[in-house]
Amino acid sequence: MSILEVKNFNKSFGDVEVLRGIDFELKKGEVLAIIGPSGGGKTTLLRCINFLERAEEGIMKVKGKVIFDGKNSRMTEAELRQNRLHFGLVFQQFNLFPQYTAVQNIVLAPNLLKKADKKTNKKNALRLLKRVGLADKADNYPCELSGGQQQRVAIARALAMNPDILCFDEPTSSLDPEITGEVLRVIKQLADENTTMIIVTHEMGFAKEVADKVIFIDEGKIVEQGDPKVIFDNPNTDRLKNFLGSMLRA
Amino acid sequence: MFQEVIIELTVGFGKTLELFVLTLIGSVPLGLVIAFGSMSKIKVLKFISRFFVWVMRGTPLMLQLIIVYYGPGLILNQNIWGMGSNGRLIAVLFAFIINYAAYFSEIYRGGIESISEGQYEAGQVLGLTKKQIFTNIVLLQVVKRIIPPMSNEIITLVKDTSLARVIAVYEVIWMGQAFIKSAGIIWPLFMTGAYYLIFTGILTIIIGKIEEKFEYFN
Repeated sequence: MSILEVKNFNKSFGDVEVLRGIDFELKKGEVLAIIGPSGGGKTTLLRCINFLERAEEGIMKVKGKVIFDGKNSRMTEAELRQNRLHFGLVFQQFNLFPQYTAVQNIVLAPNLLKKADKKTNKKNALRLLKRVGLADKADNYPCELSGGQQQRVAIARALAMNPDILCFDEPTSSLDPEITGEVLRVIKQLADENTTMIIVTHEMGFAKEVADKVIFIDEGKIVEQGDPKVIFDNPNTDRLKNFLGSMLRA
Repeated sequence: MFQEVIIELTVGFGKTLELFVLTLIGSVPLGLVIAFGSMSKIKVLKFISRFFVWVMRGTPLMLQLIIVYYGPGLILNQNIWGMGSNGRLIAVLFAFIINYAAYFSEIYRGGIESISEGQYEAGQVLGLTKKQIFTNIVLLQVVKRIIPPMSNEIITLVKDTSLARVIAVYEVIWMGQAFIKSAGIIWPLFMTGAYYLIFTGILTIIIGKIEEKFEYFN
């Protein structure tokens, strides 16, 4: 059974239709890469899934249960927060909390939401920091960390709430090219550990290597989806061919 | 004579400090209420708050003081502030508090609005409530950012307390000026400046220490 089903997502900003009938499914342990040109709707789709934007139309199911229905959704604040916790989101701009150290960033939500007692939460946070290779940076503030290190802390912070699906919004786009590798390695490692993930990315090589499934979105529609080998090596549509060509030239 | 002047001026500066401290105690929290009002989604509340800020910032504090003190008497035909120096003090405090609350509210609003949307979103996707996001994530960042503009206003308030003299509150300038009539000397009035300088000097040092405390993050 699919862990996530998204059906017929539609979203407009004013007159501009950003998402036009997006459908896809994701199985537990799968990694989905979403690629496509800027402004095509990738990030909006991810934000709708995470309830940061509201799709006007569409249904979303997690583990078979409807958690969003654009037509009749009168969610209470509490329900919204509960539904959000199915997902974790890693932002392009990291968005760490500057006044907290790395470990404090990670334990903040687990402590406030009483996920476990404080001691357990901290132990878990330190374990996660070790997992992203930053055991020695636990007590450093974000301003003392490089972009790559900040992003790895942000990944640990998202993992601390044990989401069913971990989402990434262009996780390496605001990093210097020479440090994207350290973040991609962490994501790769998570994939090898069967973490269910959705990754919006411009790193085509990485998407091909790590994804089980690729979706190509342009002008708010899924133009092609399928196995990464097919998508990258034998694209069917001209639009995808052109897009991949332009990415290679860049 | 010198000793007498020092005693009188020190008593007067005591009143100045009283005005300063009580105004801050009233206006710092009231400013927050007005700030939330001016950012409210409820249009009426937003309009009232912003109108209030416009009036408070758009007219001289001295005029506000006079209107607050004499206005109710003219309209209601009775002195609502109570008799004597105590009544005058209450009227002055009322005028200062609402005036400074208006200025503080704009500083708070600027501070709150300067926090990036990403900080709120990061809290939201972690499942935190709006209140948790404000108190645990946004608030401290706002406090750090508003320290410099708040310091400015607070230093200005030290000197604005001298306006209380227009309705005969016996603060330090009043006391200094009294020597012109009583003893025919003007230097005590000049000397009041030293009191202000020493006090604002101390405040500047304290503010500097507070700013240092917040340097660990940016």
